Amino acid sequence: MRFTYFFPSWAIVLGIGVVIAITLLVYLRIAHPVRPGYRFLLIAMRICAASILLGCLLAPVVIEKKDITPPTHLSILVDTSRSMQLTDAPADETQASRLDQVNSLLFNAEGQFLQSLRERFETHLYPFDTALHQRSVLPEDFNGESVTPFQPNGTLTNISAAIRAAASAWKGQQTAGILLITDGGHNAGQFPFDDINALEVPIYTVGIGSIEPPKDIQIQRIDHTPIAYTDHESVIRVTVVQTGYTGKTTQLSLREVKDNTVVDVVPLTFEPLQHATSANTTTKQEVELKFTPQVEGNFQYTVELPVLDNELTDANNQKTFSMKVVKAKLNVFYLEGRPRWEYTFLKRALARDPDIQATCAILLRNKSKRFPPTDSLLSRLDGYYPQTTPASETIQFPETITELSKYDVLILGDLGEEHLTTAQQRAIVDFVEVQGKSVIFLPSRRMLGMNGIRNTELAGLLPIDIPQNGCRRHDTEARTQLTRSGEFHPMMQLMDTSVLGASSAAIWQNMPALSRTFSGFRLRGGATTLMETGEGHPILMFQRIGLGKSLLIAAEGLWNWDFGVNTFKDTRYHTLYSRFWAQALRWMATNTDDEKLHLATDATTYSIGDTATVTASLYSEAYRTTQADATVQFEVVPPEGTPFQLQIRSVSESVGESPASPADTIADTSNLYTTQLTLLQNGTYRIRATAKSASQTLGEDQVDIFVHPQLAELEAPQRNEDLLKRLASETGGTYFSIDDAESVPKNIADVQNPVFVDAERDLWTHPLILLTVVGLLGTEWFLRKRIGLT
Amino acid sequence: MVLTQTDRFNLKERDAMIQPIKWKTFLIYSLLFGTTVALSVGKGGIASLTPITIAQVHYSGGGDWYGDATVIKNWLQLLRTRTDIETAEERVIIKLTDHTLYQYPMLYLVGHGNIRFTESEVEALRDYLMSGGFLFANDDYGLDESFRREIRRVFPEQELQPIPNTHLIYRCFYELRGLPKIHEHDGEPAQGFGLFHDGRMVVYYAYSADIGDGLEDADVHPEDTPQVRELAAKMAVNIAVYALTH
Repeated sequence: MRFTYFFPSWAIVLGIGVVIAITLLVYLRIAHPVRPGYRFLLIAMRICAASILLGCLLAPVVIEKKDITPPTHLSILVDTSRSMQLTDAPADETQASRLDQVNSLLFNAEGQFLQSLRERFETHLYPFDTALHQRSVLPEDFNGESVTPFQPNGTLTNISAAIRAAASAWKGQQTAGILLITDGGHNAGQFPFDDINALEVPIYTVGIGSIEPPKDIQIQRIDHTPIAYTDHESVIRVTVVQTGYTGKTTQLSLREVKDNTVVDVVPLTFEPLQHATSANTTTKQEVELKFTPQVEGNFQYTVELPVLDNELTDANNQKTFSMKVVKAKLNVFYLEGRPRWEYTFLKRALARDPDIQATCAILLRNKSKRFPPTDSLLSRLDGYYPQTTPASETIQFPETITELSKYDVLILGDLGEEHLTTAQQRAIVDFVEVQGKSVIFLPSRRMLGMNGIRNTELAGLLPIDIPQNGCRRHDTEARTQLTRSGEFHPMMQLMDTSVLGASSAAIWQNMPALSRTFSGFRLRGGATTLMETGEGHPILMFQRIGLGKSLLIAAEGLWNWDFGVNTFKDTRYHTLYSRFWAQALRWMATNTDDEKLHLATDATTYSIGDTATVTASLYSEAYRTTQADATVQFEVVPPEGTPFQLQIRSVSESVGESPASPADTIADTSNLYTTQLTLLQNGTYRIRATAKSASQTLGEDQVDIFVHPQLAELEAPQRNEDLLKRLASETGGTYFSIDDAESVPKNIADVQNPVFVDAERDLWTHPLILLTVVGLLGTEWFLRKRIGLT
Repeated sequence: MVLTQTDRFNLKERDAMIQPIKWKTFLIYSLLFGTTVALSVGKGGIASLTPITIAQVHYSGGGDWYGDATVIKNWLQLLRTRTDIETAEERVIIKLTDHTLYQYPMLYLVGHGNIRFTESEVEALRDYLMSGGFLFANDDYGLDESFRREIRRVFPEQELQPIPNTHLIYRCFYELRGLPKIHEHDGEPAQGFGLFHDGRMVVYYAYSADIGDGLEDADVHPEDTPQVRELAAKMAVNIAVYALTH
């Protein structure tokens, strides 16, 4: 005890002395006879009361040790991801799912588990999957039945994020640790052990689920081309993973979704791994499904496996993907004016391409030279070189537009003014201008010369004007280079690169030189040059003509891109000639407006929660990338709900523009417009893109992507005991199996450190003081009355 | 039917038979060869690619690969004048291992003696033919055994196939009844053989016909009648047109 108001001791003694003196003076002056014992008693009582009051004036306080030990927190993290809904022995109908087992542990009627923890710790209960969710509030009178059990809704599991969040929530407070109840199916990347250890929080882990991988088959991956061709076999490569069914035979089927038609079925036997020691070994194998689409359009196909006995889940037994089916074989007519290597190698390249149906013919007509010779077979075939036996079946160039219209593209070789009749020339012009089809001119010395097609109706289809004396011919080696337009033109892309044009330009420069080029012509106004010589002479140029297009390759020696490249050690060059022609013909045969905007996604199938990257490549009229006033508008039609849009402008203007949710426009470089879209629904998303400049629509395109339920939870559904043991071991916790979970409460180390502080308590306010003073004075008063004092 | 050299003739008899004719020819060849080689070597520039030319194979083994010195020149002229094919004026001589081999999609191989390809030549010829090249081999008498042996090294998995007279090579420009017989070789009939790769004829071998001699300048084989020479010309045109159109 001490006094709050400190006075010098002499003052206190003086005060007490004054009190005693006054009291003695008062009682000694009383004349009334009082026995000395009474008198002494009265004096003592008065002095005591006065002294107590005097002491109270000094504000006495008592010093006490006060316990201020804070509560010890314990966070319980319960995995509520979808893997927790699995039942590890499907054949055993009595076995509860993983999460049901956890619910039973936590919320059983007795509530012993939680109660025993709450007796020792400030206990907080959190569900988690991809992140830590809101704390479940437990009532004070918790008895198990009053709590809603956890539901397995999470599509992914991120254990480390949940631990970090729980540790952060109670940071700076005393914690006994974190109790983690999970199957250990962390599927959010590499587990960051170092980060978790740095939290310095003991983690007690309770593992649930079978340690052995459960029996399951799943379609893990589907590889296919985004475009299939009618009447042309498409191959779908399916990666199937199985556990526990080695040696079993089943069947893999491919079904067209809309008509619910099975288009292919293949038997599938799960082959054992060499040196496999366990029947539950997981194996992976690739299976090919083949089908031949008949109709053009956008289709969805489902690859599926039947559910096998005792299979863990059927959710991963099927996968759906989208595919665009387009007209298969391009119908090409190649008419040449004389035999030459250009014809030889192009004819072979066309024959090699399964997507091209080519009809090739050579026509020899030159009256001044008396071609064809009368003794040749050609004279009986109207100048056509025999292509078949019997020669009478040699195909000749169509005479009418009706016959011509069955072709998609015409290639006209080194023809002169005498080769085609006026009717045939008009049919070709109509073919291009009216029917919107395309013609490719592949000249040699005759076609662009004085007696070429300069004075024919075909001249109007050329993207150049031939001078009166014909074009000048250069029989010298000529290297090629792409123009700026050519670098970004789909026809000229020779490498699969993410950035269009980046590598193709270099490859074109490495290609064998051309042997003949032309000059002296004048490009027409609408012509676009895609390739030129090193000296800048245009080689490859196109122009829109009416509804169609024409392409002129004013050079010879392209065959060397097929034959001459065989001296190149880099074998990638060996297929570039065929690729160039396939691309050129495909582009020429395609409706031009559609081709100005190309929409592509980074995958064709996604899982819920994935982010799809959608890229639109926009080309200008001349296939240049500079399109300053262009906007590309994305419209997303989700499986359910209303469509939403996203609009951005080209590169310089897009900076700082806030994207619309849920799609997020993250980049726009040159002619590329990239958008990311978070996929939150099952089913088909249709993404449409429209490119506009002022009020003019530059192009449109659309893609479909299919979103599956998230299946990552089922890819390794067995208990990840290694992770849980290591996590407990490295953080100072302990690992328990769910079967031993009852022993968890008593095994969580008590980390409580009692904290005491000195606490002052006022003594004068204590009732006993008042009572004592009142008691002394009251007794004194009573005794005085009794002995007759006033 | 494949006949061996021994079956067909005795070597001495053959020498006795051909030497009186060939010595004169050899002298002309030697002169022409020197001139041609001098003109041809280093002439394989890219500028010659567009006007079509035919490269004569300079093979190893000791045979007279340089024979038929005027054949290609005349052959090219025939193509120019009869088919409107744009051709060069002269032949090119090339070794199978030359880096310019792929500038010439059509090769001409001729001779009387032994052919012995090196391993590099075997590999080069195989790659060339499989990549799109075409070889016309002309048995100028005495070439058969070594050519068959060497071409088997090039394509060990297949034999030379007899080409039927109805084949398009005999009617792709001129309508012929088959491979014409130009020079008499032991009374054997002229026979055309072919080797195919991916359905395309890559080698055409004219056995016991000697199309080459029929294409030489008229004074080289004055004994050949214009009719016989015309047959050789037509067959030569057909071979080139076939190679150019298939």
